Amino acid sequence: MTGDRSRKPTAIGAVMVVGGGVGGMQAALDLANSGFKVYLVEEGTAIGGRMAQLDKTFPTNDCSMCIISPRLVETARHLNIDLMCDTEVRTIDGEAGNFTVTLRHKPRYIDVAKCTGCGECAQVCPVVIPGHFDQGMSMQRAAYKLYPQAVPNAYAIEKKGIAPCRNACPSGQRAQGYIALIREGRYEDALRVIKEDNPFPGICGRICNHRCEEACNRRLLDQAVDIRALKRFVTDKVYESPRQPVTPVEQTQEKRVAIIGAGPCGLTAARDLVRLGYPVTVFESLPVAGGMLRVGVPEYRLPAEIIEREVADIVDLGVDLRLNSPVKNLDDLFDQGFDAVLIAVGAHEGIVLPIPGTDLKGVYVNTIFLRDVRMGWAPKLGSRVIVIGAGDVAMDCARTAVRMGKEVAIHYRRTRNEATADALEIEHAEEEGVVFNYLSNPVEILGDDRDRVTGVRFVRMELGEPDETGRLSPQPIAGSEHVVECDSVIFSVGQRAGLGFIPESVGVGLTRQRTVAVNPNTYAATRPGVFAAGDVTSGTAFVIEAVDAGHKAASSMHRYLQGKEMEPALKEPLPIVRFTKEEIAGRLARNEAKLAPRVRMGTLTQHERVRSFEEVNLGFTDEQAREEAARCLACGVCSECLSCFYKCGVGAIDHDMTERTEEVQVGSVILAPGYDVYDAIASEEYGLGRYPNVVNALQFERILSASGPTMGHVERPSDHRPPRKIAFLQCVGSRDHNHPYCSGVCCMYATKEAIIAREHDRAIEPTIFFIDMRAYGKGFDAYFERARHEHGVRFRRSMVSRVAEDPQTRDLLISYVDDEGAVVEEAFDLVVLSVGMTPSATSSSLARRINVDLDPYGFVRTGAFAPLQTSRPGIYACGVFQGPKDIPETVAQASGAAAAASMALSDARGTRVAAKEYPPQKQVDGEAPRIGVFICRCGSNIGGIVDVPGLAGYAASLGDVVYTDENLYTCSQDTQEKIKKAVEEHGLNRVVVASCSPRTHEPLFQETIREAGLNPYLFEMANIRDQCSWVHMSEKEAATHKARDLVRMAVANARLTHPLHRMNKPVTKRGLIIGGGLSGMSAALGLADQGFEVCLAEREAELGGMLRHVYTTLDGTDVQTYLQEQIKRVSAHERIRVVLNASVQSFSGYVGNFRTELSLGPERQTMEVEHGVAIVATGGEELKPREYLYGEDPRVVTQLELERMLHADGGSATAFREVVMIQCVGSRTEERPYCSRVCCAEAVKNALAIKEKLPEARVVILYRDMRMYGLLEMEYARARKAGILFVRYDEERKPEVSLRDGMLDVTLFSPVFGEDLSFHPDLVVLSAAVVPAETGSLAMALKVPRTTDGFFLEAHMKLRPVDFATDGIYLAGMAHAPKMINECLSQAAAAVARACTVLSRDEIQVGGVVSVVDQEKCAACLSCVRVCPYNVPVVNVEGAAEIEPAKCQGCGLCASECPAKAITLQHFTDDQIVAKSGALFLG
Amino acid sequence: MKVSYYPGCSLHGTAREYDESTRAVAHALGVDLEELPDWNCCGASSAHATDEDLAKGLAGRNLAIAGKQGMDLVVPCAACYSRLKAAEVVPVNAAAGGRDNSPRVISLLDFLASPDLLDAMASLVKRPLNKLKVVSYYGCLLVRPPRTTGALHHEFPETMDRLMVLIGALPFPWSYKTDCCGGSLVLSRKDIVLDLTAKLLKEAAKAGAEAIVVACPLCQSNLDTRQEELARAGAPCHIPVLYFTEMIGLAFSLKDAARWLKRHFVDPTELLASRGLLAR
Repeated sequence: MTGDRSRKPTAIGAVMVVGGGVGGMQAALDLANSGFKVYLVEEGTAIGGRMAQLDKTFPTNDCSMCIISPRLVETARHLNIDLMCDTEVRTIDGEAGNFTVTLRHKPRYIDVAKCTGCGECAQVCPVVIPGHFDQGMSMQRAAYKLYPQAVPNAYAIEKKGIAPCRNACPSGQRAQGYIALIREGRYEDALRVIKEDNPFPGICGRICNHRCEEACNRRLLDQAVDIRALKRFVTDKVYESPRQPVTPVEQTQEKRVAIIGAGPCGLTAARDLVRLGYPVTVFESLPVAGGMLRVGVPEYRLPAEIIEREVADIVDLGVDLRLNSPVKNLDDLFDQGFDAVLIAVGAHEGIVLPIPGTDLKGVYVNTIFLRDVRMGWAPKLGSRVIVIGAGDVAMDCARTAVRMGKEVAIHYRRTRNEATADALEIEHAEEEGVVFNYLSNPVEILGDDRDRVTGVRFVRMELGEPDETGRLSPQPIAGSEHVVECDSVIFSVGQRAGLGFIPESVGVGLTRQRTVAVNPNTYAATRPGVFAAGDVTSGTAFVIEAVDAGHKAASSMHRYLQGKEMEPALKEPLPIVRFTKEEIAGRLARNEAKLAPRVRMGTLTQHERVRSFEEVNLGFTDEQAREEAARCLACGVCSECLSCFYKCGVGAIDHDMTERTEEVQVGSVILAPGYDVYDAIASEEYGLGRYPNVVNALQFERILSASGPTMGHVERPSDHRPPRKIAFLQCVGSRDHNHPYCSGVCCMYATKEAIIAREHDRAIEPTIFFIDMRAYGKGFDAYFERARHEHGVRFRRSMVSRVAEDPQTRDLLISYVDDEGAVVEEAFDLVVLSVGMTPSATSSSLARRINVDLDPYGFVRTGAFAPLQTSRPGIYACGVFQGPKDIPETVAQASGAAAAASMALSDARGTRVAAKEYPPQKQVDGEAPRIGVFICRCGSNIGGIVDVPGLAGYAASLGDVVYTDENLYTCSQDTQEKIKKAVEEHGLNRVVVASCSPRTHEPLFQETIREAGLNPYLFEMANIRDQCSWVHMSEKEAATHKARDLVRMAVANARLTHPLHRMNKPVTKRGLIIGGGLSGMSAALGLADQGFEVCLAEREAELGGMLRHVYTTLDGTDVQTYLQEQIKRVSAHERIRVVLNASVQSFSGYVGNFRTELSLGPERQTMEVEHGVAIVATGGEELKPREYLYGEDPRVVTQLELERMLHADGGSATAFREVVMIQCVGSRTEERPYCSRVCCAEAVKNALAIKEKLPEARVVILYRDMRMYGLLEMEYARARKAGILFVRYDEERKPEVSLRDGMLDVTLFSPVFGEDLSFHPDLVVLSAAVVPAETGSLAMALKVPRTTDGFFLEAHMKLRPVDFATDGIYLAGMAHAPKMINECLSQAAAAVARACTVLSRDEIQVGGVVSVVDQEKCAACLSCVRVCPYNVPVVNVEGAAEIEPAKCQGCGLCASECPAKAITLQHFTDDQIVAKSGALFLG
Repeated sequence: MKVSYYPGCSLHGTAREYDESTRAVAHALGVDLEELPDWNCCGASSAHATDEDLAKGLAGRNLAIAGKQGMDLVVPCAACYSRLKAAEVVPVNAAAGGRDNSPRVISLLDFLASPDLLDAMASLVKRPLNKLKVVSYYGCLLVRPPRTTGALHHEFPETMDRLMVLIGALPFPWSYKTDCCGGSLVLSRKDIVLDLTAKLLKEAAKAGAEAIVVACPLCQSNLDTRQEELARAGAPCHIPVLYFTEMIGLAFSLKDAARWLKRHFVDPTELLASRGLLAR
């Protein structure tokens, strides 16, 4: 806590970090650990970023998940990190120190606070989509957790919006949902989903006009999914079994409802109202229910038994259905005491055209005709029948007449294009022999003397202008009248409602079209309490519309009867998911969709059809249905089928969640949005997506991963065979026209993947096709050499232009240039595309919204000397967003960004953070153990396998167990309260939870018992899920047995646990920085600006280090001016004390309390410094070469010497007309097997400077690999464009420099040209290696390790790049490895951030799980001293080992090695281990 | 719908079946193809390799005529298409008719695969092609170079494959869709042409194709007529090479289909008859 507490800080002591990958987490943790409140915003459902997807990391081959997982948990559980997943930053207002960030929280549809991560929602979710985490290599559900270790440990539902099929359906059928359930074979569930919105699945499955299919996105691909047929299939399957009785609904409402008409509308409303508890009476005039469905649709399209079954399902809910009960007068119903009436009588009156002759015998009207046939009252038709009209009802009439054995002709006044009947219906009618006469209109019906029909006089028509319906209106052709002979005529030109029971006196208004007038939103008629819906208000429409109207009328009547607002505000709807052609093409390219026309349903033969009223369409078979269902594109992803909702045991599912916005005040913002892998689908020449055995590198990473789609077995996707030959193609989506940068990591990850693949399977022969091998990082070149020489990875320098596939073997054919320059074709079993990095898809729009500048490729713009600062003050960036880079550089930048972001806020440090208050701890030592055991079912994850009640009973029988409980989810919030209460009520002093993994859940339960007043070390856990029920899923009894063993062991251990207490030690708020070069000065300023005292010790007599010899950066920025400013600032800073000519004599103490003795000047005065942290920044220097005539001829110089010539000594270099530069002088050799990283860029920089001064000068760079990594690649391109020649040489045949006649002669063999080249330059420039400063004695004093190359070795090459294993000591700059200026600056800032996590605290806590020495038993054998990886144990003056608890990491190595058993690791004592193993064998 | 139609010399000569099947399919779809009046050579055979101005002028004149017609110009031959498309992209000189109201040049394949016509086509399929296994072959000029054709998927076009699925055939996604058949070297370097066609025919057979579907008269004749010669040279192959319009015509059950198919060197009758698509 620094700064003047009395002054109110102007800045806000909180920081927002955008992006939850490894960078974002690092920044958040560093900030939160140094006194700032952090909002960690992540767009996805979980943090972890790309690193979580990786299998191993180079160059140490560590398991990626193993090293990142503890970070995930630490981040999520940090008291001062507010983790906000599913969230995006919309805008940032205000300025540095005081920003207002507007956030958008997207709905997750699962309440993270309630979700226990049990996964049952995913188990029942029917929607299958390509898995996000496995890059489409495996499938996932719409309800999902990103990956098993995901944090937060909660599921999410992916919902893109409303599928167009559902949107198009008047009653909102969740077609996508039931189709998915059909694909899964879950027919009962599918029927449940249909019935959520529609009580007539069997009916609509046959006769619906399926607007869903018109809207189907699949039409963009081939043909719509046959949704109607699938719906019918569900009912066919379910209705095969006898109908189950329906449980009537209890009547809870007083008010009574009458419904007139038992058609689809009336019955739907009846069902809804009965379910709401109303007494409902339905009046039907016919002797059957079902309305037009029952009497209007012929049996061959809709069998009566289907209707009867579905009607019965409604009536049996408790509807009072009165058949043969026409309502004569509306008023009667109110007189009978009904409170509301719904008129749903449909449109049963057929319309007859107003032409002469309609009263003749043999003239019929459609509705009456069909009703009479259906009811068995069929009229005797003559042998020749004419049907007038071409709607669906006309087809019904015609095909019914065909089945009665008649010759049938249809006459229609328009053409087939305008006919309103379903196309398939017309086709079927044609097949059955119905003759179609288009453009034919009746004028008169002719009869004989006995008034029997003899024929119809028609007139020919032609189509004119469009009418009000948009259809072309037919006009009669003069003189075309003619007579067609027939015996019967059926009019089918429309239907309307029969409204005779509504006299004007009842006060219900009608429209001019003779429909009931209603408010279209509420279906309320003009008389209060009267509602009308269905065909009676709309005119003839389709069943599904009647259903919709029934629902709406019912809910409106409910509101009316409850006295509520009749027209409430609508909820904001989800977007409709309409695909574009590009999206469809993308799916096709990714093989996520395949071209497949719809499955054709079988039909009766024509012959069979015309002889009976048997159903024509036969429905799908199981196979057909699943095949058709698999065609669904799952447009909305989640279909709201509600399977998860019904399954979830803690009520965490909420499909009605909506987006919400929030404003947050912060002082700074750090952007760490990460990257996307290049979508190589766009590089069609490589066939990703098309050829199953071509994968991208991240997919291959998943294949290698033990938690991946193949469980870590290396298989090729096409046939799951182990591949033998694997080709890696480098630079896919990097170094091309669209991505002119190098992605910086692919050479190494491909090498790593090749090595790991070989480790999995020695038979694998990997080949890496590359342009330049860019192994420029620390330890990378050695890794590359090991890959070549020890692991048998073949490296082939050749750019591959395309991949072809052998269609039979699915092998992949690659053509490349071999050593002799010939083109050869080789077959591979698997091809891995080393895809590059592109800035994440959303980061560019984010940058636009918050006014942060980007470069043309989407990377954020930062400055040469401020690599973490964006164009907007107060907003910082780190990671790949700032340019392609690997994990350690990202982590270093993240820490650096944390330092930069908090510097301006140092006044406000500690103002926004919370500290948790706990009740005092109960004294339990000396008490007998009273153990409580809590057993978790984890939904059915444990409960479905292990006999949990039996296990609880067993636990209760164990000694000292005084309480047991079983919970559905032990980790849920309410259970924590239960546990606390149990501790209180039963006086528990030990707690055991038998559930899942301590990795994720132990801290939660420890926290719970601490809140109950128990020391957290009195907690013990048994993992009966991950290690028991999950792995023994099919052996329930054995699993139960094992669960008992595990619980018994945990109880045995719990008996012996003791409270552990931690001690507080004060912190010396001063940093010692060793090395006064660029990194050291930068770190000094950083720490001092954060408010801490600094002692900066420089070995030489002046500050500046190697930077004193550098004049410009590649982009032309003046380095010397910057250096002078820095020196001035450091020297003048009130909190920095600079000591020159200083070296470290001795070093002692531990984090927070170090003591260093410095020796100053030639007189070797000593000076003592007390400090809390130390930063090592000892730097490096340029090698003095011993080859190529260096030192023998003045015309052979190093790059730094050339730089001085170019910029300092009056530009003498302009005299040179031909310059040859030689790369890798002293680097990548046996003596120094590392890459010096900076020399390629240094050479390009100087070469460009020469060209700038004298454009005609010839500059040749002789190189092995041009390692212009990351954004440097663009400078490499600039150099080539400027005419600088790049000539490659082989390591085995290095160039030779000699003197011939006083002239310099450079000769080399060019492997590209296959011949020797020679040059006669004025100047030879050697790109000499970077070597570390001499630091042997310093390393001894600090007891920190160095690499064999003499650079300091960090604690962990990936995640702790600036830490030493010893707490409180950090490193930065070239002391770590060669690096560029901006990289040194990032690392220096990182070291500052790490140091601040110590210095910002007033005291540090030590103790807990640490080793303690029984000095009596110690024999001073030094075993512990030798074995400790942290150099903690020392043998003290009494001759016994001593372990400083502040330094001990609790690993327990010393305890296990100590031969005298003098060392004990607390909380893991021998007694405990013995008791636990004893308990195992007792069982 | 009415469009201008540029048949080019092939469709009036060696590829009459392509012309006839195109016209029949268009008719069935209700499309009126109006042949460009007084059209001239597109310049594909030799002009574009000898005289740039002549090449542009020849194509430009056709475009100028089409411009006066005021309708999109549909081009069935891939070589003609490439020339006319290049002229559409590169401004032609004013003498040849200028650039004003220039028509849009569309390949017949893209035209027939436009969304409206696809819908219409789906409803006209009377006899789906019974999962006939085919490979679609686009050759080089139909989609490349992309800056001329504007093709988005020039490495792996799929338009023809989608048409094939629609009419009930089973296209295989093979790797050699856009490899060159050697059409432009037919007269000068027969040795190269034989190598290229042999490779294509071999790969098609390997992919299990029963027929190769093409949209270019040069590709068709090259792949169709070389098979006998290759067989004599000891590389026997027998794969009918069919125009995509012929396939559509078959699926529409158009009565002239048998007549078109008779003109091929490699007789497809046996194959199609075995699938019940054609009488023996």
